[in-house]
Amino acid sequence: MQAFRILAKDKLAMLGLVVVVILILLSLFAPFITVYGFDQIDIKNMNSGPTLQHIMGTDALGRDIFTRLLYGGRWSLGLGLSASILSVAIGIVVGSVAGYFGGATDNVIMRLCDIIQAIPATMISIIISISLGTGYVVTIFALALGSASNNIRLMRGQVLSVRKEEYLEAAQCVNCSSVRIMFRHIMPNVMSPMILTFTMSIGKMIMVAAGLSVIGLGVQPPNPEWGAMLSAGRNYIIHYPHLVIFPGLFIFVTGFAINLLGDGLRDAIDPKLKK
Amino acid sequence: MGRYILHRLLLTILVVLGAAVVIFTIMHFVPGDPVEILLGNDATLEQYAAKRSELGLDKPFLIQLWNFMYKAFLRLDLGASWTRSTPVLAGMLERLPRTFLLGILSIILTTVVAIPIGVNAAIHQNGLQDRGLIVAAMVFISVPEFWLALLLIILFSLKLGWLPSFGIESWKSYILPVVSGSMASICTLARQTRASVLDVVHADYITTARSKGMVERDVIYGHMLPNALIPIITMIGMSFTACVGGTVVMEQIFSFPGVGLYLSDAISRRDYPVIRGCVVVMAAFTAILMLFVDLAYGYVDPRIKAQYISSSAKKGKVNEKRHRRPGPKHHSGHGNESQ
Repeated sequence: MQAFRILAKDKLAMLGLVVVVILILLSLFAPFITVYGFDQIDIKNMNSGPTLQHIMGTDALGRDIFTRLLYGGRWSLGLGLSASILSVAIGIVVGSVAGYFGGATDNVIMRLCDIIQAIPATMISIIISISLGTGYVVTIFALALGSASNNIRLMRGQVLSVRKEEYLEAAQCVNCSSVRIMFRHIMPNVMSPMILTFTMSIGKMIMVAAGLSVIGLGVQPPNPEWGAMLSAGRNYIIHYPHLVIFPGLFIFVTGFAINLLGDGLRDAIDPKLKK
Repeated sequence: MGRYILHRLLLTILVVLGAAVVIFTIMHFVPGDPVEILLGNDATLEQYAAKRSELGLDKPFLIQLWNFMYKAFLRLDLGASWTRSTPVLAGMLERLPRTFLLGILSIILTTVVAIPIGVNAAIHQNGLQDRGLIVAAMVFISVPEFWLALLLIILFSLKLGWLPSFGIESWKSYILPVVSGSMASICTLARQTRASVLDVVHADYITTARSKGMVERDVIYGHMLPNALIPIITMIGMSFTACVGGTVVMEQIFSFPGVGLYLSDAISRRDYPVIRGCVVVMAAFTAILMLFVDLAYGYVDPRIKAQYISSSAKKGKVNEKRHRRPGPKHHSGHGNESQ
């Protein structure tokens, strides 16, 4: 709880938190904020730049960009959140197993991690997307699996650091099962770096997803996901740069706010790291 | 030292082989029948069967895997592209030098810009430069690099007309990809440099050096930096890995005819041998790079070399964990830094 108090005093981190909350609220209450539908076509105003009527302009089909970005928040933030949750969850479970049981289990898991880490994370996401096809859920899986090995390594290290503590011995003495020890006794004690990784990775996931959209994988248009909109707008960049600028701006603001929050969180969790 | 190098080399070879197996296995379960995609719908059953056995797809998975591994690593044959029927390796080798040049230029730019900025910020801790770096790093780490690339294209190619926006015509074509690709790693590296220099800035040997009357510049570059170098080298290696992963998107944006564009072209045409080949080569490249980073530690930091020699003398066996790269704390490591 002390961590939260430190965090609450960190103005930049709070700014980040406020921006993230605003973005989430904007996307949830999109229908009340804008008068257009996200796939509503305005034939009179195709490819228009920002005007009073369409504050961020319209795309080639005459759809309001601002509206699409608001609705897109549901897709993009949802994507970032679920991919991060999945990736951290894999890290926690597999990392705990490796760290707790040690020996051959640990060896097999760690050598597999070595191998997977030799492949750049983007490449893993690419080949998984190719194997499973494009789409929202597949992209979440591809992103999560691409970054899971880092989290496994991190969690394993954390578990190893408390492996010899006395309270674990005590838990074993009262006949706790391995699963109970792992998740009731070890996990709560080593969660802070995982929470930090989780926070920091949300923005990254959205960025990598946008990168996948650019090369024809990941979420594809006409879904109003930010990365998909950005990569669709690339074709009109010569005459209508606003199609690229605004979606990117949303991704950037999200990433920036999350990084501010994450930095504050790191200082709060581990004041030693603060320089 | 020789045994350490040998050990790391063997480990790297195993990792590369393992990565190839993983990649082949994932790609093996791609949905859809590749033969049908190749021949189209109006092929006869005989044609279908002939093509299937020509590609070796009628054999069991393990035999296919063995054939792939045997050809790829003993004969350096990554198969042929389905849509262009040229060997994958030749296609890659033709494009590799351009991508490689792009990567090297990015790393040089990153190192040359980031280290002085980071050192400067650490020396004037809490000063104007320091705060400037922290803010700038925060901003640029959050900018998606291909969005930055597109913004630079809009500004410098479309509005000002100074630089070309796609292909390679002259040396000017390298400027935008290199700058937009390096921005994030410059910030990460500068931050890392600042942090590691801050760790040594109050060390006793720095005070000693100063009290001997050394010029401040020699203190910084002769005493501080070498001691702060290990995490910095780790970070340079990681930026290079991130660069390898990022080339696919970058080259697609700039229509830069390198390996990345070859790969994204193959993705859009679902040309599986090319995709597989490119990813395997990139994984091998990353693993070799990591090997060099590990070996560089030994040269930069005599303590690591000494640790190896004493531990191998004692146990006669290499304790691998001692040589693990000391990564920066709580930054999720590796290629994941790529955005």
